[in-house]
Amino acid sequence: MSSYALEILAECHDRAGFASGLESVDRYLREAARGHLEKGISVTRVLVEVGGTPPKQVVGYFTLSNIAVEAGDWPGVAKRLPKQAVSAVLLGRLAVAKAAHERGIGSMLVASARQLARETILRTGGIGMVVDAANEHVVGFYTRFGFRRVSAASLRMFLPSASLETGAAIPMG
Amino acid sequence: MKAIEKTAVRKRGRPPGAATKRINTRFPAGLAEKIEYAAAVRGVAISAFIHEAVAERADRIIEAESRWVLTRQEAATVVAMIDKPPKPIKNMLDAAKLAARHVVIRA
Repeated sequence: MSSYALEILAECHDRAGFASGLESVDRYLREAARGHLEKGISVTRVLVEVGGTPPKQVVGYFTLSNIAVEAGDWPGVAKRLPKQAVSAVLLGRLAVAKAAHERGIGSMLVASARQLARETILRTGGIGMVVDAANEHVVGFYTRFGFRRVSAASLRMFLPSASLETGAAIPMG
Repeated sequence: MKAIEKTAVRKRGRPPGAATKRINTRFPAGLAEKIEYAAAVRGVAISAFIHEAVAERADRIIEAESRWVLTRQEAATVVAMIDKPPKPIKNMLDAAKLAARHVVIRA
């Protein structure tokens, strides 16, 4: 039986009580995530304990959106990437509540985001999953899951579509 | 800062576009002086300077979340990964197994 449910952010979730220790991601959940969801900019999903009652305590969350990737005219690139924009799935933010650290929540959120990204790419196309790490420490976190930095000057990371298959499927219900 | 801004706007006219919404913010004295100096160097009103600078930064942030124009190095890295996709590593496989046991995704 599942211990946690991953739900699309809604009124019943306690956004104000979420504290990860990184103010920018806490503020995003509190102030911007609902608006971005309503405007179709991005979708935020929150992890809550199964059976919780509103306001449901959020143990972690992540935000997915589409991103257009433009390769430009770089020599040799056009063979593998068309000149026009191609789609990818962006994992813009991922955070775990301080009180829920050391329970594997971060790992489960990454795995869930990966599965949802893969499903999107299978349905509508896309070259892979892009991650924006908040800082160098977070780069280390995503590196552990196979994401690779695209340049030394950027905190942006990437994993191609073909690398998103992992076998074990997280149940949908 | 507010008084200075009002004077400047009156002197030079309103910045382009209909300014209908007010965002109240306070600036540390040092930053306010820097803004005044930079606006003077550019020869624009302080409010116009702030509008332009903030709009530019906001555009960059919003664009980074919806559009990614690859640099040469980024393009080379992305293409190399697409050409030779790395196999899912153990941590990702373990994370998927853990989530498959403990998480249900609700639509």
